[in-house]
Amino acid sequence: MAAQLTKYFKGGLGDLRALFDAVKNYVSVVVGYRVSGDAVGFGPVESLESLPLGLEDSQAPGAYRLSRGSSGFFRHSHASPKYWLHLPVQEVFTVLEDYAVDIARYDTYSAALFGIKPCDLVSMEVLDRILKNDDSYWSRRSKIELVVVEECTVPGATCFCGSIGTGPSASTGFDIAYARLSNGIIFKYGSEKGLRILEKLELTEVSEEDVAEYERAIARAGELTRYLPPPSEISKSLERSVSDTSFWKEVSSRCVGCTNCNMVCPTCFCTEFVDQIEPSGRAKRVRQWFGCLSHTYGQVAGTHYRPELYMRYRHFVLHKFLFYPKQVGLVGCVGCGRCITWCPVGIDLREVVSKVVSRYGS
Amino acid sequence: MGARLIPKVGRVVRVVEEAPLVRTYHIRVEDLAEPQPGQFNVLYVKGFGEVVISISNFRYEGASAIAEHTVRTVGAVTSYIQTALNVGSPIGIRGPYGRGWPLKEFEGLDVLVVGGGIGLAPLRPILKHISRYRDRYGRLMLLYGARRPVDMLYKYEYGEYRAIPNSTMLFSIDMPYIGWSDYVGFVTDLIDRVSLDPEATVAYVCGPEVMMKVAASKLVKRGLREDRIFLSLERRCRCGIGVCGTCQLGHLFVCKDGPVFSYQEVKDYLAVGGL
Amino acid sequence: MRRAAVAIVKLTSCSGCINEFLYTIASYPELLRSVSIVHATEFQDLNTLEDIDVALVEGSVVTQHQEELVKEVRSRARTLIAIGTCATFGGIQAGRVGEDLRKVILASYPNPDFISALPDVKSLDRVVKVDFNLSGCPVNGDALARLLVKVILGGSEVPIAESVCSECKRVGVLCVMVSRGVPCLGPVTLGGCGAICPRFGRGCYGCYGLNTTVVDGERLARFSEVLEKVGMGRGDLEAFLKYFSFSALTKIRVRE
Repeated sequence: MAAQLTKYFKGGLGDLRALFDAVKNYVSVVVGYRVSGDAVGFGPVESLESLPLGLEDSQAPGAYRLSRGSSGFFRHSHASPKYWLHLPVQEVFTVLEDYAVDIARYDTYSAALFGIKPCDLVSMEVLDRILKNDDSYWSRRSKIELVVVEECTVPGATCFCGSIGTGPSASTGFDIAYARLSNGIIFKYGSEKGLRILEKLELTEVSEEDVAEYERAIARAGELTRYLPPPSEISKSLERSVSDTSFWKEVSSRCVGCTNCNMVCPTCFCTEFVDQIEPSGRAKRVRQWFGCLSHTYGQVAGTHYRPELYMRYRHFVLHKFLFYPKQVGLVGCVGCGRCITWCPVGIDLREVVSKVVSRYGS
Repeated sequence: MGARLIPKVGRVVRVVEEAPLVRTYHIRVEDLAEPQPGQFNVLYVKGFGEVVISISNFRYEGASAIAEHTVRTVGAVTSYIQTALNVGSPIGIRGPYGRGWPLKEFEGLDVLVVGGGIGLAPLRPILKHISRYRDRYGRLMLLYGARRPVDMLYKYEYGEYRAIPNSTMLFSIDMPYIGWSDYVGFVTDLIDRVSLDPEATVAYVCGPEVMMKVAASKLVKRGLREDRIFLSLERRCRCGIGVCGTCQLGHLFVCKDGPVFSYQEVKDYLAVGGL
Repeated sequence: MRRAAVAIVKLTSCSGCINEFLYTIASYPELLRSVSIVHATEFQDLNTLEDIDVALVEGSVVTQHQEELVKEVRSRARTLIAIGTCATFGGIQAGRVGEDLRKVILASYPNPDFISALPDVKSLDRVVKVDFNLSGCPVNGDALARLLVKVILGGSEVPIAESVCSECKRVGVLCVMVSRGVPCLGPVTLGGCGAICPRFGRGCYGCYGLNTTVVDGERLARFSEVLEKVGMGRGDLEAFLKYFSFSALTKIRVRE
């Protein structure tokens, strides 16, 4: 038990500020959920005040609201680390008048991620594996020198990380994690680097009650987000559902192919290339996020391999639960619920998956 | 940054008229690695974009590589290639990419090559390979079909193929044509007209997807093993290196896990439309 | 190299797309090195329709004369590009279809005797073969310039069919409908505008036209229920669709 206790430290909001400052000194830029105007994006964060600490989000299928209040708990927004690591739009190269290829260059800085969620952390692991040949992704990913995770003690209404095992607490791949409880903040470290930073702060030892309360809060949040059977059961059911065209037509009948789910999904990585030729004779090649729900996905000159929307919706679901495990050894869905919240017609992935399992489960 | 997606600039050194709307472009470029039969390059035309084209032949001339690409006009990029590219034109090229035909693994076996239309392009390096290492393989059977006689590729090389010892060549066209004395019908019908030793034959197939599916199921009926029938598939391939995601077939990335797959690997996916 | 002969032809429309073309030339003056404008009644005096490489046609067909004109243009042009939503879908004037034409004319013109309009409002593809449809109200000038360069070089372009939402999310704009309950047609509308309205906190009203690559009558009907919940009535939706997606409505099954 004693060894277990050294994992944790306790502090308050002032210590979180001290942690932020310590992290800021460690790298060139701190990146995280950033309040800008009435929205929360994802990008460089100047100070603790730019983090959404005083905001509360409420989420439901097709609905998202932010409110202000000191006791608020922020889960996430449409944005995720994907916005920083896997740029939505990026120039690949420009070909000049004489056909010389001018390769686009980006300044990359050493960066720390601060306040990302446990589901975000797993989504990065998924992206790391699926984009292993993507040097543009890695030019930014390899500059992440420190990861600070905020664990979720108060999950949102569309969250289901407890079903997938991707939250509400962080297990690996981070340096420091913290959880906000009613009587203070519990800090833990996930790496030697993280421990060294925490040791320099003026944190107190945790009591056994503190740890017990933390573990209860995490367990409660885990329960609240456990909607679905285990992922292995989901993938088996999906495998059996593949040729049930009428089922997939039915569950996608409200879909309008807008690709919001793809864009907000922290593991959707598909991109398309756009060639822009200017009247000067220069041509730019741009790479941008591309959703499998859009009509063009699967289209080639002369034919279309996924001409109907239900086929593309089926791919979206199968990919997360059936194909990702075969591709990278991880479930591609991290249970964040963004695709549910940001779907303008409120299609609930949890419902679709439950239907598949109830129809095709063992 | 992004070096893997940056083309090298080469030049078209020869253009061969193959068939209506089909030409073979010989592209000279420095520093291009030698491809395996069945691999592809990504060609780039300024301002119009990239297109994935199989390598139908390859050689080195001194330090530079000459890659041959047989291109049919179907989309915006291929149309522009046909309209604007001539001997001397610059063209972007990167590759080689993908998993090609497994040939070494099947030395000693009889080889059946089945091609439909433009599908002969990625199969051509197999014929060149067997002709070069003739004693390593058993019988060679080439079944090739096109819509019309005029649509057949590499007609200038058929003499060379025929000269390969211990080989059979059968041709088909879809509709009767004056002066055509070979078979009229589907190229897959020709499978019934060759004698096969199912225990000792490997098949390499490329053509329209329906044709490949028919060919594979016929060959399975003839007793060939599903893991000895190979197909070269097409999907919306963009990056060529498995990062853009648009070529997925089930859990497979056609660009990096393929384009060549054994029938065993893909038959379940191909059986469901739109997967 | 010979400059490409470009004709700019105006049918029933507001000239906004032609303005956009002039802005485009102002932004890319080098375009004039490869283009010669042989016909543009809006801004030059000497005009000919003799031998056209590229015709840019703005507006929809609402009179017999326009129908003949656009057929003539088609027969003389190697490439015909429909620019703007009037040309590609019918445009705002389609709002009058189904009304009493005489009443509409009386309400619009002091001397109605000179007006001989047809009851229907036709997008160009209902009259002639259109090589490229570039919708938008107005058309996106950058997209027009890039397409024009490709066409002049002898090439073409296959557009990526996407919704406005794809563009919103890529620029990181907060969804006005999901986060504020503002009715937005973005999910069912073709992108290409760069999500201008949501960038300013407004809902999309569908000016690039319905994304018929995905949206059929059934899906549209279900989507209209979502809009109703956030306060856009069926009447408003039908009006927007009529103004900006008129020709698409005849192509899809609309559930009553």
